[in-house]
Amino acid sequence: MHENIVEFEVRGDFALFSDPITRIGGEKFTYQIPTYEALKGVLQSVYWKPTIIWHIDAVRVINKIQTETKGIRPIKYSSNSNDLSYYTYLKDCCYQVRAHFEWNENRPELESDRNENKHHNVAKRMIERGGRRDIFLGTRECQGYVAPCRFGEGEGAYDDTPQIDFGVMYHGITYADEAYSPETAGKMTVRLWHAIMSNGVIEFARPVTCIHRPVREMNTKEFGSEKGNFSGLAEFGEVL
Amino acid sequence: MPWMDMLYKTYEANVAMAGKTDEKVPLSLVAHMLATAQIEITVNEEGEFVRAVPVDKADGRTIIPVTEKSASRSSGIAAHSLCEMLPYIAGDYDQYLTDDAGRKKAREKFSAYITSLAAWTSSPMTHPKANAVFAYVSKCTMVSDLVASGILECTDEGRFADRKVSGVSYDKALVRFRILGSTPDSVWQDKSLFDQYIRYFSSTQEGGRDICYLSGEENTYSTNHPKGIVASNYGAKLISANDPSNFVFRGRFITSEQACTIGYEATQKAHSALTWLASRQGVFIGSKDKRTYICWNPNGRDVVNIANPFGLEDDTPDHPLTEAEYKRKLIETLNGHRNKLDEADSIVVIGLDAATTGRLSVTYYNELASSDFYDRLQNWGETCCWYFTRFSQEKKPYWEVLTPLTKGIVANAYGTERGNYIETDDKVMKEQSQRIFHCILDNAPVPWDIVHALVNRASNPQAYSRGNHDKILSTACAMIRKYHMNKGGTIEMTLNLENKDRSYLFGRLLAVLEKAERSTFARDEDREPNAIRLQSAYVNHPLSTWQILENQLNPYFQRMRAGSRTFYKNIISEITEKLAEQDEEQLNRSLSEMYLIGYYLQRAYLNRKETPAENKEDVAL
Repeated sequence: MHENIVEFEVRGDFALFSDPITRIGGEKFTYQIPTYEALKGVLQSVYWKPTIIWHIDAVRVINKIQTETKGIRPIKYSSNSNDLSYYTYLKDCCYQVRAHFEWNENRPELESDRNENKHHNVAKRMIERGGRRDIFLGTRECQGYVAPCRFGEGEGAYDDTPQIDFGVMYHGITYADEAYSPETAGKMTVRLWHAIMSNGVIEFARPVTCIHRPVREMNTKEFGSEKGNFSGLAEFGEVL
Repeated sequence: MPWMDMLYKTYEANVAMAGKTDEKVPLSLVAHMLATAQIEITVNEEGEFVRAVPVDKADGRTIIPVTEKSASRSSGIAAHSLCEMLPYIAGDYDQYLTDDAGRKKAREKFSAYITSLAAWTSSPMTHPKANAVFAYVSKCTMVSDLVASGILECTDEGRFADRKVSGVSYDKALVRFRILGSTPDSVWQDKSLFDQYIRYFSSTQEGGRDICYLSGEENTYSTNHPKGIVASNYGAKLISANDPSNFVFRGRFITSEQACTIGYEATQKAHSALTWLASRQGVFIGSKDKRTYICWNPNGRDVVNIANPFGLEDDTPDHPLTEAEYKRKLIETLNGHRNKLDEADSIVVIGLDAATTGRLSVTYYNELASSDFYDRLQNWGETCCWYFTRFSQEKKPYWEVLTPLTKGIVANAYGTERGNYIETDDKVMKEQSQRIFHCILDNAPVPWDIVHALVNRASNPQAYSRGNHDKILSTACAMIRKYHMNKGGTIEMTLNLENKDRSYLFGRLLAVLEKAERSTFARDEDREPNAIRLQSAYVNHPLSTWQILENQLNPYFQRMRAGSRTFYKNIISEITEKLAEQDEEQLNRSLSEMYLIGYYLQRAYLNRKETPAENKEDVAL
């Protein structure tokens, strides 16, 4: 149990947590539950600094899982014409999420920024404000909204369902900047895990315990004032 | 991965059905294919020839072990693993040919075949049957044995005669084996042989190994996924990653293997299950450009047909069903289906369509507990039903309570009349049927535009033949009732004399005006009464149109008997009294859809009376 837990509720009209198997063909089909990475993305849109890594602990599905298929005309990349595809979205989604953050050990240069109180409080405030950046559920066209909540409060559609098994699912991708082991360092690694929902709550596995599948090499993004993408509050007089 | 996982589970649950050749399209096994054999050779366990017989076309279906290459071979040389065609399997085939090129090819084919069979039989996953076949085939005497048995014919010079065996020329004749002394003696029905081959095949997979996204385990992955899942879009694949130039999977990933890998066994099983289900239980919507819906229970138990769930269209009961009887019959039919399933059973509905040839997509997917599924069907049947006119064996019309078929709803709302039938464009049929399935299966409210389309059509009786108009009217009433019930209102299926809704009253009035005039027609007079001809105007300006119709009705009143005249005039005054109580300015405004309900019920009431004068007091239907 970490002390810097945040709890929030995210809802949206549509969500698309694409299943990688159908995504490669272009006909996107959604998973029935949010992926770890999608929720981490929501939280990163709310508040993020390179000093911290968000870990999602659990998600609770409030509304009933319903899907809707829409015919979409995505534009082709190499020509001026359209493709016709069917994307299947989740409808009327509402999730309660509990998460916490940990320090990103790959960034020793930011050690002086590791002030737990500061990050925790700003994160809580940003959740109340609805997020610093736009929230989206899975894909960018699925606009979402964030509000603070108490995890477990209120009625959920699956509170009485003992268990639903979702099989092997995509968990997320470990990018090189958040690597935690020699196998994940310097690479982009896909994580898979076995998802089970008990009474509406899905307890996520920690990334390090998932099935790992290295995909390719990648470089870490470097932050620093000499790179021009990090000021360390120099404009306010304080320099980290 | 909801549906693929479900298909994989379905395959595993039904694996006992795999390999049965008596089904029209059997559940195929991994690494096996269905072929037709023409020649059957029996050998003993040491590989000595015993006898050979030609195979009848009807018995020819044979499951044969294959490799990925041989299953999709076209012009190259790729040998199947056990049962093969004569040029591949007969070592002495080349001696009976005349041309050198043919001989060379035959020798290459045989060499490919014998090498692969040798590899299998020398591996730990071999099987006594495979060994027997290998021993026999290595002798290279197959053709001479077959000629001696009279199956193949050759000329005096020892070359093949230009004949056929079981309707197929010699170079395409497939040979299958029976091994004496084992049960079952046929190689195409022996499950242990299938299993051994599958094991051998998995161990020799060349191809990258990676984590399979379905099972989470490391397996050889497959880049070529099966096609031919649905007969109507044969070339379309569900999983295809062949677009390296557009943005389909590129972005973070550079190749499609980076994006996703699926194990060979997993994809074969899932696709095999889907093909089997599609051919067995697929329901097609649309005539040329079809969309397939499959509704199944993963444990292989029987499920109702979703396009015609109640199956009541085919019944001709001895008396027409009233609403209460219909409800009971519905529950009975559905209970029959319910009892075939356990509590824990679920029902999966999937809709497949090809947006472009080459890519099959899942357009609808829903997984329901079986109790939920049947509950929703029952709810649909009970709330969306109305009286429909049907014809008995003697061509006499009678009215019966029915739920319109999804196909009927869409056709009546959006189709065009061609001759006696209403036809609908495939695109419209597919999309709208899906919306209605969604209403049935997800308890979604009926969309207003469908109801509105039906109301408009029903208000235009002159555009359709009598029969079609009746159907449209009944379908419209059923959908109006369902629409209102979704909103929390109720519409009774019997005429309610107390109903003061303006449109309902005007609808009743229209029916009376129509029937009054029609009752004066001679038997062969087939024209439409004034009320029908002016129906569209009536819907838009009821009060003024009614005044016109009332005037036009006077000559018909003169023609009636006094009793009938009084009868009709009484009903009219009863209705107009109620109308007079309403707000005068609102009276002439256009009518809502409720008028159709009033119209239908009043008309039915009037039609059921043989002699109106006798049944004046009787109000109930």
